[in-house]
Amino acid sequence: MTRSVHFSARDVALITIFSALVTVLVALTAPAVTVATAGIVPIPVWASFIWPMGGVFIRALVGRPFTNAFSGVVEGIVGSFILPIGIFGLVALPAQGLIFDAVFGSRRAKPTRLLPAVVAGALAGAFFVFIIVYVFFQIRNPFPLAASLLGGVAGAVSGALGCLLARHIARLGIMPDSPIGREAV
Amino acid sequence: MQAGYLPRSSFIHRLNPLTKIVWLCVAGAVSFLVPRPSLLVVMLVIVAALAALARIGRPWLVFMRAALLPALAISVINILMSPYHGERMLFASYSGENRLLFHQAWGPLQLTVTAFGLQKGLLLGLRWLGLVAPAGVFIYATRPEDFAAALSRLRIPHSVAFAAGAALRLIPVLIEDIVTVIAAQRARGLQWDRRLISRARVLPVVIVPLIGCSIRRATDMAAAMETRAYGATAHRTSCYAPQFRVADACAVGVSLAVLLAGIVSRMGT
Repeated sequence: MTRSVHFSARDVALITIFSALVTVLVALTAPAVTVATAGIVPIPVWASFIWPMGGVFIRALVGRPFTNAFSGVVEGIVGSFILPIGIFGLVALPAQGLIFDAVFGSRRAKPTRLLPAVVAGALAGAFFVFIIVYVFFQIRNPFPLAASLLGGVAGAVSGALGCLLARHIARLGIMPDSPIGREAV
Repeated sequence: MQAGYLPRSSFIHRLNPLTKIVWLCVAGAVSFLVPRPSLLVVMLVIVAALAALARIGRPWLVFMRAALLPALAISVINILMSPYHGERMLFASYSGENRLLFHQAWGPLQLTVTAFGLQKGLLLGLRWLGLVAPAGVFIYATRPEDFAAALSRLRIPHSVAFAAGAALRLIPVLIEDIVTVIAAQRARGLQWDRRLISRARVLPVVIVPLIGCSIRRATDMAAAMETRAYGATAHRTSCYAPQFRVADACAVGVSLAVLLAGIVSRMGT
């Protein structure tokens, strides 16, 4: 294998499938949740409740640098066809992935630890909601800040859930040779 | 709802995938540039005509029917919650005066509908339909392999192009997996009723098997990739090289002309 190929076949397969799965989950649930809650939970806030869970989980499974940026690009390309934000996802989702990569870049900040997962989720969620409300919906009053705060809380909860989900999957022994599987052993 | 490529013999299907990517980007840009809801309606009619030309009219309409609900939600939320009464918005121009159409206050919560807010809500809903509608035509008229090949031609790293093409191809499979897992759990007595809260409560029972299923699928996919020597060489070759024909040049020309018209219409407001 040459040095230019950074991700193994299994990494690419995992990133592909979980990026597609998270994007499909957001596309299927976000409009329904927004309508069912009569707009109290706007689409970006619900999306920021799903994305960080996927981000933390994918990072836990693959465990390589820039995993989330790669996953964000794939989510952005797929999302440009099926998400309400369209081609804007090509900017928002890779940028969100870079936030995860920055937080998990430190050796001690593992996605299976609750605190880094919560921090990464909160930052990613707040950023996603802010960029959607401020740039996509072009709202220029204190609302974007309030919405980002809500997105941050949703992202923090989602990050924690992603971390717990990764631990649960590791305990089940589904992937013993992945970073989380090795950690569980 | 059909969520993948539909093989048909049509002019749109035969176009080079790069041409279709250019068209998709132009349509996305124009839906942002166009300042009035009426122009977005014209754009949607043109996309509908293209869907009919590609012989995917019926599945495209089903796709758009699913897109209507969120469009409606986006419109209603923005009509009712327009800050600055809808006045401040880039890439939008409003006609008439900003009259107050409705106002209701319940303590600190205020709902205000203004003429500009109404236009803004309509514009945002239609803008979303304008983004989604060409994507529907693209998905139904482009094979994911062609899409990945086109991305590779744009010098996007092969791993990303491959992952994006494979992810698009996997969407229908993943939706099927979700439906299968829910059906299997319901057969085991899962209460999957229409209430959102009860669904949220039983979500882990659906998510964990779904993840297990996805990991198994990823493992199989990785094995298939490795048997085909994925990543063995840095410079990949392809058996299939999409041809760029005269029809493609014409389609790209028309797309760029539409983009120019969008920019001109934007500058005119």
